Amino acid sequence: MTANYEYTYIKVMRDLKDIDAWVLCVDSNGINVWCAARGNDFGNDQIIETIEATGIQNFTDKKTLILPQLSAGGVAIPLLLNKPEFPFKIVYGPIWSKYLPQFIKDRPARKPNSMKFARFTLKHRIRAGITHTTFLFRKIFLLPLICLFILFLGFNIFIGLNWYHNLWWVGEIFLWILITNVLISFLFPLSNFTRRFIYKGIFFSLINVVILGLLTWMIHNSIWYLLLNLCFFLWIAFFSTMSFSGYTMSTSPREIQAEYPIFKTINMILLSVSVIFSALGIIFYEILI
Amino acid sequence: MTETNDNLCCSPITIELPRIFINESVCTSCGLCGELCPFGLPQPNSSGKYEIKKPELCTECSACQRNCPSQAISLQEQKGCGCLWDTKRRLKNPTSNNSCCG
Repeated sequence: MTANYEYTYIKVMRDLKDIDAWVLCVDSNGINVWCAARGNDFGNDQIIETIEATGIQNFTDKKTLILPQLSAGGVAIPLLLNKPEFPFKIVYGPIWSKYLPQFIKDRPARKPNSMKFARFTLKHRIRAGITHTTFLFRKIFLLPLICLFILFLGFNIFIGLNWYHNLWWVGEIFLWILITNVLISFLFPLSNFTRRFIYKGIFFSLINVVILGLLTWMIHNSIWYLLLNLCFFLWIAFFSTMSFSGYTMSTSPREIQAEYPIFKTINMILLSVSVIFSALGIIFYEILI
Repeated sequence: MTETNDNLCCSPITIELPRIFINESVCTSCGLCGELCPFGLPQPNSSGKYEIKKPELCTECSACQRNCPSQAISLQEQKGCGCLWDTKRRLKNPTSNNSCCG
């Protein structure tokens, strides 16, 4: 059994290729297993609803229902087993579906650590970095940057302002976002000295200022241009680190909910200041360089 | 997690409760909690009963508590997956239980 988040059920079906098993898909509103279980989208009600809707027990002689381990935050097996009409024996499977073939073959009473622990490995962090970078472009940056690019191009062609450096600046923003997310993905374990994402955000903001500051200095050789863009470097790293809280699985909702009001204030200040300063940097680029 | 006693006759007392607690006298050593916790927090002690030595690492997902056959685990569950967007949505609409993430 799995959730109906598209990537999840396709992955589960791929991992179960050539294995004699049924895949039951819970209607979790298109949400992945962990998040669905932590809301009310993957629990006992959805399991019963799926079994009743499919009548799966009439099509198969299999008697064991394997639930994803991460659905345990929403499912209560003791309550399901209290129902005498429930047609299956229930077990929790591995944490990742790639271990399903081995799990089905061995049926271990005690799973090995690799099958049950959620580790935020480099592979997971790279995947998180790619997902987050594309999220930033899709939801925040792509449209404004395309508009700015067209606007600056218009200034160059039709008004003759000779602002070609502005076109490069649009590309530079892409580069900054990309580098910031690469840094966070690779260096995330360095922030394990704290569980608070505000502190992690400040930590990566400072690293980002050093790395992107050096890069900007090397490219533009202007202290003023560098200073005017520092706030953007701080903001993008702070915001991205806070946003990474959703990828680790080890984030406590209670902690992140307590931190959110502080995050919101810092985020608003950094964003406002960085928009003003970066705009000044680009408008007065010719004077600064 | 804290509890405060605001009784008029005495000054307020704040008691720090652990996020999660396994009642050793009720634990049957079945080990299901150890199989379900994604961070491996419940571990058997010398008498074979399960205990959590670092409760501060618990994300209160409630997987162990919901599925413990002897109801030996106490915790105050906090809904949410810990992501920033889920948090934003829950603080905006506290009555909503569903997650927002894909």
